[in-house]
Amino acid sequence: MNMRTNKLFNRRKTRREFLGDCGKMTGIGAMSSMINLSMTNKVMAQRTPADFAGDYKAIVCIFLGGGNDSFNMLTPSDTKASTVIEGNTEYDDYLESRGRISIAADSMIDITTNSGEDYHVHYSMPEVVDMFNAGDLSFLANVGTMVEPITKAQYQNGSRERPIALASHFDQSKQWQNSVPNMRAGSLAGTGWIGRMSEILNDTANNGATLNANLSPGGNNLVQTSASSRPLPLVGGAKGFDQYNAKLDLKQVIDDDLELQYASILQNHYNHIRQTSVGNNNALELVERETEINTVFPGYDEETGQYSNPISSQLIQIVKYIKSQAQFGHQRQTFYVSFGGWDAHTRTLASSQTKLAQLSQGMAAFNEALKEIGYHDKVITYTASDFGRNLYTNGTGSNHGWGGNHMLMGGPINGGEVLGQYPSLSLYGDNMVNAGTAVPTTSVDELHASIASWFGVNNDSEMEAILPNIRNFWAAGQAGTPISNFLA
Amino acid sequence: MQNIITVLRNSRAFVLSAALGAGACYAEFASSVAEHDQYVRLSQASHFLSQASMGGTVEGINALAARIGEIGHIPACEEWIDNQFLIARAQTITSLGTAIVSGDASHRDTSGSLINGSGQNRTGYKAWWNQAVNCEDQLRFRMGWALSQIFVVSDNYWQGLDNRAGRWKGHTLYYDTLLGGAFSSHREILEDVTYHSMMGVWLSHSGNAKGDPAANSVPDQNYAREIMQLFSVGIYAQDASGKYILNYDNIPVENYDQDDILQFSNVFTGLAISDSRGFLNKSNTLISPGTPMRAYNDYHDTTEKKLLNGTVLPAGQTTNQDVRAALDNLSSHPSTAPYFTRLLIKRLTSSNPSHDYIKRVTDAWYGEAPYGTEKEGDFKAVLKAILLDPEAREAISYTHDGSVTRISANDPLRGKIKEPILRMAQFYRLMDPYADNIVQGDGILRIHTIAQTAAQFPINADTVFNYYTENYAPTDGPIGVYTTDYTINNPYEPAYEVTAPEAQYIGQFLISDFEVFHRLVSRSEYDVQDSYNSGHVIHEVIPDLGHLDEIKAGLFASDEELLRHLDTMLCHGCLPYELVQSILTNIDTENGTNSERLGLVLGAIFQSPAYSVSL
Repeated sequence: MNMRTNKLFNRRKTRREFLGDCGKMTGIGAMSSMINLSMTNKVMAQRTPADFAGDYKAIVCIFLGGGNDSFNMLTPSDTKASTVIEGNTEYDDYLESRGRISIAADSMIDITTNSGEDYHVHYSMPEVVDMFNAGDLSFLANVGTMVEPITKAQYQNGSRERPIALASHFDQSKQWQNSVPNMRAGSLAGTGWIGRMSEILNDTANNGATLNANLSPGGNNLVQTSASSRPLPLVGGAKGFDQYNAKLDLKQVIDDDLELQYASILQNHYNHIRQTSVGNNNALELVERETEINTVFPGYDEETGQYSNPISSQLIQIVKYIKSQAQFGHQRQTFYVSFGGWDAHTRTLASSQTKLAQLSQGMAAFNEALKEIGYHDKVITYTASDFGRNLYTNGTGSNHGWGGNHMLMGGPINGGEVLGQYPSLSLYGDNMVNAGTAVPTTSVDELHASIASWFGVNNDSEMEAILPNIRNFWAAGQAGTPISNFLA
Repeated sequence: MQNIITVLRNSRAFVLSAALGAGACYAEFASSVAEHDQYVRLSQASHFLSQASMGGTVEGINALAARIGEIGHIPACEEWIDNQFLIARAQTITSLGTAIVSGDASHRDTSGSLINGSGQNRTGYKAWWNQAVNCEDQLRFRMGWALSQIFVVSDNYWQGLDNRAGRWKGHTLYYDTLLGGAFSSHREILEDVTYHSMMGVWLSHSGNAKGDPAANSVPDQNYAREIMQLFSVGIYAQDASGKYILNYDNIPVENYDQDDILQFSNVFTGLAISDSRGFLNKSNTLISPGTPMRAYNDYHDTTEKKLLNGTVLPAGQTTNQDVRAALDNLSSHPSTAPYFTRLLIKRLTSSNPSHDYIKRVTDAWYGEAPYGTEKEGDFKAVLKAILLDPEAREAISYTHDGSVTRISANDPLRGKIKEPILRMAQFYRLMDPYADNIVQGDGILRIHTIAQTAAQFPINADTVFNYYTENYAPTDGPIGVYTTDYTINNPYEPAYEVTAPEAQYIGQFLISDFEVFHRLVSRSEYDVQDSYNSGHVIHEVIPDLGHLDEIKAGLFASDEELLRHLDTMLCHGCLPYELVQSILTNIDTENGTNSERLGLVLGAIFQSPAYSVSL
């Protein structure tokens, strides 16, 4: 047995020993990435459960896996003059860049922001437009993974640090979730910004809660993962352990097995998964069965009892969990919805038509259901995706890009706006590189910090522990949110 | 069975191992030399077959154990592998699927017409399961299962194949290609996969035209990126032992950048599915998914292309010349052997192979003794090197001091969590399922619904990144603690994490196990709503399990013997003493029928890490 494996059987360090070790390592630059956050939170802001009493808040992340072609979801104005090509409108620039995969302006739905700016929204999204006009939803323009602010020139001359492996699904979808686009491995790359936030808020906000606060109808994910816990995957609903509870003699055997210390770390981890899974599923299955929601979600087939809309059943689960939150004792919960199939290398127009309609209808029903249960002012829903897509077509689809447009929904959001800076879509525009890839004008970190501020995270060492690069975008101690006009 | 589960508590057999609490040892029990030797041979045989096949049968384990007794552990395993190399495919999955559709009344309505949905994926799943459980060329099938999780094509999001005519066929044809190439080489299968129509449509390099500046059009970069990232060199440069090569900041060096992807995207232009439609008119609808794509040189980019490591393809080459040269470039890249062998090791034996293990397999890839051949990347050599390596063969140690057998694991990081399909398949294999012709009289097993409850389907990963990512490293639980400690103590060894890919995929599936076992053991017939065909109810029959019937008929004289048998065959001797005790203590012999109690015992073992994690 080699040195490394022997370590497995060492006793865990006490916290005092651990902090002592940290002190010895302060000369190491990467120290922040080595600290187990569940330990560091003890030296951060003092909070008590009373600070959170009666103040329930939740975050819902809808992850559009594959890279939404979002410059067709929200397009620039056909009334505003191009800043790049004389005689063009901004829409003309868009049409020229996208060629075969552009959409004519008269097919789109016109919107005007509260601040008086014109844009167009994809024709498949009338429900989103209704929510936008009602003040329940805003867009966030050209947001993407960034280590530090970076211009087109800086990107091209390499004077600023770029995210690792731009345009790689695997890396970019991870970076949207872990918010450390400059790291590949270690405890920060392996955890999500929501997971790290939970480590800081959980002990007090969810004091005594009997259930994991990070629930995921969309399955396992990085964004809700922390050093000490994983989201609870609830794909297709919780599964109550009927046989387990019914066969009491077997239950005892399983319980005995769960207590055993195995020789392999993989075996012990397997037991750990099993233990968590059993307890949580029994509780949630009951909630799903007994909670009633009247709002009708799209795509319901009465014969099968199934939804053809890929996010309906996930969103219904979430509404039910939120409605039942009091019984589990949470004041801060997060949810993850998975919506895949956005990697439109071919036939992006047809694909977007279907998928954006499903997204729009699903989100609208969710918005309505939150009003029904009286939680509309307590929940922020945001979309995330691997990356925006390149404007240039590769035939009938588009290649991987970088910055993209996203949506923010819920009572706490300052609705009816296009937040951030919408870039010129001319291939010669100030934010365009690689013939049609948008350099982001708002970082994923700014989006996350804006939501985290609302969630109750202080803009000090707490925010830095959650978002290690945030100081490149937002100074410590600044009030409000890094994205202007973010909250209602 | 009449005394299951009475009492083994008072028997001589098991003695609590003091070391177990420290995680070093599973069990100790008194044994004679002869008993010990037989026990070890059976355990070694079942362990080897759990890695080299979809699971050992009782007959297969006994036969291999006998050969181990005659010629020794490693020679017997190598002989088994050599014999497997000689077995030809008896039938493709596709042709078995066709037989199922034509012969199975569950695919026909009351008037005898094929129902809508009969061409759907579940047909392919049924055919796959029949072969997984019953085919003779088990090593080929296990390797095919591994390759299908590397060269991933999935029926998720698939809209291109006609439903009634056999939407499943494209996927089984692709899978048959992988099975056909299971004993070929990396370079050969890379070409099979690259030219396969299913891959062409899945990763969109079918119909990929050269750039057209006038139309603001550039080639699709999808295949260029994924063939490098997933099928050959991997993102990071690594040495022959799989160690990342670091730059001066201790950051791993990347094998390629966006410029390289652009160059390779020009290579992969001009290929398209072969049919009468013109290059630009092909939709995703595949007419003959088994026919390889062909070159349409008019749509191929003919400019010069810079490949990796300084290789330059001259301007003016044809599609096939460029593509084949690019495949040579990628397959022979120094990162490919360690990257790819690590993937195979993770699929077959261990989630966390040592660098020495990777190096030994890489050596075989390059033709070094004892297993290497003249063919670079020879899968036969690689398979032998992976399966016969000390890290795989000696993962469990069985020692005997004259009166006591002790069983322990040699390295707490090795082994892998079994994915749901493997876990289910190995159980089926041991239990010897057979169709007693209750259903159709065609000898074909109807086990699709059980598979559905296992919650993992072949050829059904979410994305090209497989069911789980190969470097998934849990941040919680026992693995998370280890990784965090390791990272703290080794700040200058980046990217080292304890991985457990399959942990990304399991969770609530564990809950449904008992439902499965209830049905399996009680062999109840039941109706199930087919989720692939709304409203249609299929009548499913649980297959007979030959070995289960033998057990029920009283094959074992005592509970002790039965549990020892299941331990040897399913857990290779690593069923913990305490779990055996708990089973004997808690399963109430006054309650329920023999079958029900047997179901509980099997369920408890199936659920246990002793079975669900392969050492």
